[in-house]
Amino acid sequence: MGLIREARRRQRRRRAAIGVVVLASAIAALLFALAAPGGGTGSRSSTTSRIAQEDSGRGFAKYGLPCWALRAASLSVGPRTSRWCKPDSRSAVQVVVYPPDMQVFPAATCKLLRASGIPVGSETGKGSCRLPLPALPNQA
Amino acid sequence: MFPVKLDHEDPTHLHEQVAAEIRRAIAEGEAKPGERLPPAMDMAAVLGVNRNTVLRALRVLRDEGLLEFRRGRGITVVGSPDQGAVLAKVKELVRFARAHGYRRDELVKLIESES
Repeated sequence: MGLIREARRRQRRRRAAIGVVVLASAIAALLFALAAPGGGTGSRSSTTSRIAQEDSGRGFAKYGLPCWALRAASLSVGPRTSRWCKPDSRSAVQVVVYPPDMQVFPAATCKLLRASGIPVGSETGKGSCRLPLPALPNQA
Repeated sequence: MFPVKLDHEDPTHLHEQVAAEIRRAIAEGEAKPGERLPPAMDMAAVLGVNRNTVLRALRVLRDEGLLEFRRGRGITVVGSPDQGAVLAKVKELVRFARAHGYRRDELVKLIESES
């Protein structure tokens, strides 16, 4: 066999080996993601509800909430866990701190907060909702 | 396994031996004009030499007009070994003519008078 043919065969073998490694890494990452807390449980809302149930009474200190939900609610976002963001640890309370000037939230955020088990207050127009301001420790 | 045809004891430079191997492989039709050559790394592994030796050999073949280097597209065969041999002779002739005081236009006239 000639030089170029042999080199091409070697190139194919090398590419195949790289492909196997990449595939194995992808499978390992998938298995890791499924094994992680909240992984592979279906829709976002059901996952959020499950976390809310598991975490009820303790706030979201352990698992956190989806980061986009916290940001959508204009809440300060604290440390990021593997999939979730926690409310800012510097906040006075660990559940959720509602900024005093942002008590009315859009419909999508209300829906998410309801699904997460967070008490939602009186509805306003167009599906938005008003959240009850939690008692801060210094106010309690 | 590829039979190693390189001779480390041979006074011919190693990169010239590698260039000769690649030239021969192209002449035997292993890679046709327009086809890409395998990476230098793989050819070096097959021949049992350093990758830089293969790269130097490839540059020699590029100067002969046998190969073309394109950034991001690898090394492709553009000519035939015969063309490379003719080009090598032309270069040799140009050098020889310069050494003997012939200018370029005079050399061109000489070639035209021969054809």
